[in-house]
Amino acid sequence: MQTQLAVLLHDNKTALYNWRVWVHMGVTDLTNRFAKSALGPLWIVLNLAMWVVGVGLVYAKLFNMEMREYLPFLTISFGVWGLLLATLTEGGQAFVMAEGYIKQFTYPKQIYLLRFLVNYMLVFSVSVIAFFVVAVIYERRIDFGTAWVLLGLLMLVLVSYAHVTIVSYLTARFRDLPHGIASLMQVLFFLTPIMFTPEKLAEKGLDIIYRYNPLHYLIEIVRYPLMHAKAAPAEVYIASSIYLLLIAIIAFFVARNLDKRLVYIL
Amino acid sequence: MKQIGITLNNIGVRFDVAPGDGRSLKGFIASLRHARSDALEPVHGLKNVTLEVKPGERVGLIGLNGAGKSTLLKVMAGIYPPTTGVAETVGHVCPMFEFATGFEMNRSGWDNIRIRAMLLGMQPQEIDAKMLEIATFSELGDRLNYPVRTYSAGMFIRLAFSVSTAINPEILLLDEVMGAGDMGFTEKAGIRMREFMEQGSILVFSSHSMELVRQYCERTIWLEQGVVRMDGDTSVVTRLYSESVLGRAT
Repeated sequence: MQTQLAVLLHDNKTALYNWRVWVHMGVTDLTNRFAKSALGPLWIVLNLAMWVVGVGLVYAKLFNMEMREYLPFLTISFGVWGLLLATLTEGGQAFVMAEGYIKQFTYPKQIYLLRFLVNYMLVFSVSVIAFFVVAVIYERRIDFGTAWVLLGLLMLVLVSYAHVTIVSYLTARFRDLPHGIASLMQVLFFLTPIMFTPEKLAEKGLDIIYRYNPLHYLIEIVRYPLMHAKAAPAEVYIASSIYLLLIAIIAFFVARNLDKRLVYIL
Repeated sequence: MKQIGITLNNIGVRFDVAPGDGRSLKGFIASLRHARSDALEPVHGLKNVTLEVKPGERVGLIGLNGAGKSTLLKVMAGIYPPTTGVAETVGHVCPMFEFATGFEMNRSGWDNIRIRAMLLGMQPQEIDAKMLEIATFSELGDRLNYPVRTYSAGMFIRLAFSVSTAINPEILLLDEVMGAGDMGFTEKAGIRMREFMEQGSILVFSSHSMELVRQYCERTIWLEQGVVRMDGDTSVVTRLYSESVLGRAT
């Protein structure tokens, strides 16, 4: 186990060290997706805007919330959710899609995980920027307290890497997996405070729904500092840290089990 | 710094074939339920292969289809982790294996040159400097502006070969590539191959052409059903191999 850990750490280090390769691949993946469209990557912004404005107008009324509160909330909630969804479902294709490369080039496979991660992070960063645009329009408070978001973002990056690692190895082995997770995520979307605030659930005595939902804390860890310009409650950091630790351990065991076999099962 | 070389010690590669398609949860659960009743026997790609390749050596790999030539090359490249034994390859490896895969089909030839060059370990400045040279050598001209999905098999080989040989490899591993491409390109490729040898690097390549093997290699390894049948002087090994194959035919 010790040597396996050393091998994995070494491979990850080598992959990180060759950042130019995966950054280039990740960025061109994104630009290439919009290669022949007139608006190009602007579609990411439009997509987000349409969701937020479309849903925002109706649901703000429904939940009896001010637009000043609801729109920025919705923007960042969607952003984080989009990242979680992508890393847990589509992200699983990282190795499957890189099969041709894995079977003929000698770089560590983690290159292809990081390539996907770059792509998702770029899309996600659009929603963070969008949040600030909305926040400025509504003259929300942005100060040093807001900087707590950096800690949240760091943890989110680490969690995303663990997510992509786990689902990519497992998807190479079990091709049904992304479909299964996608169904689960569809349900979770309506059970996680994304379209509605956690306070609304708590008012109805339904706080149990998010209390044990790790995805809620992962959203809150970024959303809370942005919305309130201060650190999120301690429980958010504790829950997120525990989740990160667990998922990192799972990622290690999954990788340990499948890393050597990966090229044979692709 | 260790000396460049390939050391394989008692290498075995086993391909496990799971029941069903082996890729779905259903297949996995099925395999747990009726343990190995309908499981296919594992396939042995390589068995007890022990050999060493030293700097400056040019080695040919021969053998019938399925003898383990490609598998051995992939073990040498570090792509296939051996199931048993220890494989160590010291030096910068330039592998040339599958030319129909590992392309971004919707991107241009130029983009693909860049990505392949990066994956082979070239630095961005180096790629910029060599881009034109690579493009010229490939003779693909304007077609480099087109998405590579429009390329023919021969054009993929030209592109891949041009990129792979633009770097200064210490260890060059080729799998059955010399015969492909049109005649003119093969001749050019041959000249370029000789240039590699002058750099004093290692070459290992598999081929069905005894002529090519005799032309390039002093040493030849004859694989049969995953086992090294013979390893030695090219003229001897290729003669015995040809006799064996012809003998079987009659």
